[in-house]
Amino acid sequence: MRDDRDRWDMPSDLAFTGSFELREVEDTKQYLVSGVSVQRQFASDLVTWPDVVDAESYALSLRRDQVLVVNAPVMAFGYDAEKGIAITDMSSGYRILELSGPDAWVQLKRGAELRLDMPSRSVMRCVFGIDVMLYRFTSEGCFRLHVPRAMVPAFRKHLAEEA
Amino acid sequence: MSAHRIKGYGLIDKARSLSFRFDGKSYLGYEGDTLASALLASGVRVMGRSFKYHRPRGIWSAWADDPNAIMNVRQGSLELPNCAATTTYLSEGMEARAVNAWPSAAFDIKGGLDLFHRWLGAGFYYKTFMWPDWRLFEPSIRAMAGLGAVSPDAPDDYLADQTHDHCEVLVVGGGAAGLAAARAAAEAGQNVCLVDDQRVLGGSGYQYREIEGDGASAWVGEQKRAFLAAGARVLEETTAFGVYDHGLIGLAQNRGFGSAPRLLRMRADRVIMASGAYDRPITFPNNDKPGIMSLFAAGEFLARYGVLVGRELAVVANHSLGEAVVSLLEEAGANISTFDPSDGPIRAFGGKSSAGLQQNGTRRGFDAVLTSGGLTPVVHLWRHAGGKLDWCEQRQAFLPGDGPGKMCAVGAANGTYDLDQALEEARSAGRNTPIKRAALRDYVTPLWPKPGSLGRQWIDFQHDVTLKDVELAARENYVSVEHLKRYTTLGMASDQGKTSNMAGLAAMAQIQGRSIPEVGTTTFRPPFVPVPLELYRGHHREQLWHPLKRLPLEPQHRALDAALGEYGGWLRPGWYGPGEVNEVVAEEVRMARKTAGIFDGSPLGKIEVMGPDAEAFLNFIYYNTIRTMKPGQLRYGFMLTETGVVFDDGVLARLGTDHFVVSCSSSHVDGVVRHLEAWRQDGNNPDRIFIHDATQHWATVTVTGPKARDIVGALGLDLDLAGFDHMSLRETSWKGAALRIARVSFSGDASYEISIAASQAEALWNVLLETGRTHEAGPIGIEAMSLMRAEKGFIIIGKDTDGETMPHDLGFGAPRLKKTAAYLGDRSLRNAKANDSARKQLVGLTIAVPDILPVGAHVVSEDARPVSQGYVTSSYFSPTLNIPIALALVESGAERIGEHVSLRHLGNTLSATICAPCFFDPEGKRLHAG
Repeated sequence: MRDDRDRWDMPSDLAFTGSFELREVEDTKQYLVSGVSVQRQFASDLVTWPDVVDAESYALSLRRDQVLVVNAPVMAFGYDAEKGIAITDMSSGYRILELSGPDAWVQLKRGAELRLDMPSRSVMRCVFGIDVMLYRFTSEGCFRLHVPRAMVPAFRKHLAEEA
Repeated sequence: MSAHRIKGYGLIDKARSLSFRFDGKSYLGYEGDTLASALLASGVRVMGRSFKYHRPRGIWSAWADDPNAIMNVRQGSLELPNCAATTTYLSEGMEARAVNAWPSAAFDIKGGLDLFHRWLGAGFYYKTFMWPDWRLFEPSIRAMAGLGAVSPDAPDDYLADQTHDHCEVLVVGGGAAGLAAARAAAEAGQNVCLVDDQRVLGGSGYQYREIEGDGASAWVGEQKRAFLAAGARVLEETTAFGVYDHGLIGLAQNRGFGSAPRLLRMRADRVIMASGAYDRPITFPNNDKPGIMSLFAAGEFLARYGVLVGRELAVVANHSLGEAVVSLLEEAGANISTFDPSDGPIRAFGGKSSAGLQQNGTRRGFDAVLTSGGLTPVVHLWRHAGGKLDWCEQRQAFLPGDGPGKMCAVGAANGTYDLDQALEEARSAGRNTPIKRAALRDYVTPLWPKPGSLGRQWIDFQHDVTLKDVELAARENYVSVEHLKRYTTLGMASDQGKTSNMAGLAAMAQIQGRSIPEVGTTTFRPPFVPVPLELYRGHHREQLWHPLKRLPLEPQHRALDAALGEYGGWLRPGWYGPGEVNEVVAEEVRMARKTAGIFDGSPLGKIEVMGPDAEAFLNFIYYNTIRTMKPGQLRYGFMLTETGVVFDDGVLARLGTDHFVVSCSSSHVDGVVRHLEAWRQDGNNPDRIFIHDATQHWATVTVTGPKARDIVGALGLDLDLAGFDHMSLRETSWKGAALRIARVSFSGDASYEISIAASQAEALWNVLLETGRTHEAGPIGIEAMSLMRAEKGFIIIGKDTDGETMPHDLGFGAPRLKKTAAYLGDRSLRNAKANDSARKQLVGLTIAVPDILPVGAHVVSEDARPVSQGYVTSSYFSPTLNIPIALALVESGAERIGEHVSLRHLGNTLSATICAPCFFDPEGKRLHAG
C-alpha cells in the first residue's frame, strides 16, 4: 500500500504546439466492426496505409476481418446475423489525436519504424510501444492517431518528451 | 617518445586551442584533437595502467581498437567513466583521469603488484581463494575489480534520443572504399546513407599522398560533394554498433561529450560494410612497453592530428602493407629503422620514457617502436548478421565468407587492402553489381605467438593476458576459444578483443597443433564499441518506463484526495483522504458495510464475444457451463489453461443469443484477450467468432452496500431495481448514453456495477457521489474492496491462486463432475495429479491474538523437521468482524476444517485454526438483499 500520486503527473491538456502541433478531435463516433466480409462491405470507405483520408466518414482497415468505422451513421451494437458482422461502440475507447506541422513525421518516427513507401493493408501501428491506428487526414503532413483511452497520457508524454 | 606536432599535417584547427587537464596536469590541444592525440602531442607517454598488474600503458592505436588509454572524463558537472582517449574528442575544460591508477598513470601506487606476477597468473583467484571460503575474499576482490568509477552525481540531462530510419543502401564506414561505394550507389539512384564513426570522413585515406591523382582531402571532399548532390545522406560521428533481428542496424550518433548519443534504428535494404581493418600487435617479450604502438596508428596520428610520434622510429612488420605509412612518416621527418621479425627473436626494453628493441644481440633505443603483425578486417557486423568467415592463408586473416544476402563487404573489411582495388570493388558494390575479391598485391608472412618462448609476452594489453596464460589455460584443458576467453579474460577488455583475439586464438592453435580456422573465433556480439546504457533507455524512463493505464475519473479521484498506486497496470485509488492508511481503509470498509461504498471499477474487463459460434466457443473456453445461460444473465466462472490451472476468473454476461461480455480480472484484460484470440484462431472457426476488447470504452462505477439500491435509484433508470436479481444484467440508457447495469458483487454486499461510455463517466460519478453523501456513503478505494472480498472469501487470481491451483482447489468442483461438453483444461483435471488428495486447497484461517498473519507465512507440519503444507495468501484485520482473517492454500485444507495448525514466518512460529474461506455473511443474505 503506497501512495504514488506524486510520481505520476496529472494527465495534462492534450494540445501541444511547437515544432509540431497536437490536438484532440472530439465528438467522433467510432465503431469496431468485425466480419468475414467486412473489408468488402466497407470497400469504398476503406483506409489503408499510407492513404490520405479526405472524407467525413471512413473505415480504417485493421486486419482482414476487422475495421474501425469512423463517423458512420448510428450502428446497432452486437452481432448482425444478416450481414455477418459484429459491431461494438468504441467512441470512448479511443481518443483521436491529430498531429501536424513540419516535424510531425519526424516525431512519429521516433516512436516507431514507419515508412511512407511501404504500403500496408492495416493502419495498426505500435508507436512508442502503444498500439494505435495511424493514417493521414486531409493532407500528407497531417496524421491522425486513434489511441486507447487509458494510454493517451503516456502517448502524449512520449511526444512531449521527444519534442 | 618525443612526439610533437608537424606543420602541414593533420585535420585539426590550430587556430582554436583548447585547454584540458590529465591526471591533474594542464595541457593544450586543438579543435579536432582526441584526448589521445593532444596528450601524445604534449609528450605524455603513459596514459593508463593495465588491469591486473598495473603495468604502465601507452597508446597502441589511434581509434576504437585501443585497449590502453581508458579514462574517467569530466566536463563541467558531467563525469563519464571509461572513455577511450583515442575516440574522445577534446573540448575546452575537459578533465581526464586515467582509470585503475592512483595518484596518476605515470606513478601508480599499485604498480608494485607487477612484482608478484608469478603468482597471479590466469585463474589464480579461482584456486587461491577457495579455502577456507571464497566469500571471505569476495568483497575485497570485487572492490579491486572493474575499471573506472561511476560518478554519484547522476546527470539529469544526460538523455538519449531514439528514432527509426530507413534507407535503401547503408554504407558503414567513411573511408575511401565507403565513400566510393556511397557515391556509386547514390549516383545509381539509390537512397543512400553513409555512416562513419569519425568526425571527419576519409578513414585512413589521409595516410596516402594522393588518391586517384588528387590530394586526400580534396578527393574526400569531392566524393562527399558528389554523393550529397546525388541525394545521399551522411551521418558523421555515428557508429554502427550492431546488427539485430531482421537486419535492424543499431547506430549510435555522438552528440558531443555533454550529451548522450542518439540511437537510430536503421532498416536498410542493403548494407555495404566498408569498416576497414585493424592493425595487429606482434607478440614478443615486453611488447607492452609504452612507446610500442601500431604502425598504422602512427600514420593516423600524423595524418589526422599532425602528431609525429617520434623522430627515431623502429618499424617491425611482417608484411608490405605499410609502405605508404612508412613513406608518410619519413616525409614528415622521421628516421625509420626496419626490423624483420624473421631475422631473429625480438625483445623490447625501455621504461616509461624510452623504448628500444633487441634483436640478435644488438640493442637500439628509439623514440617509438611501431609494430604491425598484419591487418584484421573488421567483420563484427558481418558476424552479427550471421555471416560466415573464411580463413585466408595469403592474408593471414579471417575474411567475410558466405554472408547475409543483403550485406557485402568492400575494401580492407573484405581483405582488399590495395587502394585502387578497394575503390573498384566499392564502386561495384555501390552499383549493386557482383564483386569478386581481388588477389593480394602485397605479401604477409605468417607471424604468430610462439608458445614456449621466453619472456613475458602480452596478448591482451588491458587485461594482462600473456602468452603464458594461454599456455596455462591449454594445460588445464580450457582449449576451446570460448573457454580460453572466460578462463583468462582474453578479449574481455573494453576493446572486446579487437587487438588480442587473433593472437590468442593463434597461440591456442599452435599449442594444440591445429590450424587457426580449426580453432575458430569467439562469438561476435553487439555492441561493437561500448555504448552508454542510456542509449538503450532513451525516452523510456520514469513514467514512460512502464506507463500505467489511466482512469477516465483520475481527476475526480485526485480532487477527492485519493492515494493513487499501481494495481494491475492501472493507476487506481487505493484509498481516499488523509490519515493512517489502515485506519482510513477500515473506515471505508465500515462505511460500505453500513451504508454504501462507491468504487471506480473501470479497469474490469469488458471483452465482447460475438458471432454464431460465440456460445459454443465460450462453453469451450470456460470451465463452467455457458450454453444454459439466458440473455440478461450473469455467471461467475473460471478460464483454465490446457493444464487445468486457473487462468482467470470473472463474470460472463449474456446480452443476446450470439453476444456475450467477458468481465475478467482488471489486471488480466490483455492476457485474457490474447487467450481468447489464440483459441478463436486455433481450434475454432474464426469466421464465426469475433472478439472486441471494449474495456476502455466503458467506465464502470460500482455501488456496494445496504444503501446501494437507494443510491442507484436516484439515477432514475428505466428499470425495476426491486426485481433486479443478483447475477443479472440490464441494458438501458442514462442521459442519452447507453448504460449497462449488472447486479454482481465482489464485496459480499448487494452491489450494482454500472458501466457507461468513458466520456460520460464524470457525470455518473458525480451524481452517485452526491446521492451517496445523503446516505452517508462515499468513495472507497481498491484496498477497502480487497479487504471486503477477503471477508467474503472471494479470491483474487494470482494472489489467492498460484501456478498449480485448479478450480476444485477453490471449492468449485461441480463442473468437473457434471459438464459433458469438452472444455479447455478438461483432460488435465482428470489426471492423477489433479486428483491427489494432498492438493493445496483454499481455506480460511483464524487466530486468537489480535495480530494479523503475515502473507506468505507457511503452514507447517508438526514433524521434528517441519515441512511446508501451504501458505497464507491474503490476510487482514476485518473491520466488519473485528478479528483478524486470512485466506490460505493448505494441503488437504477442505478436510482439515477446525484443525489447529502451526505457521512459520521469518523465524517466528504462529498458530491458527483452519476454517471455511468465508467469514462474512456465509448464507448470502446481504448479497441477495434487494
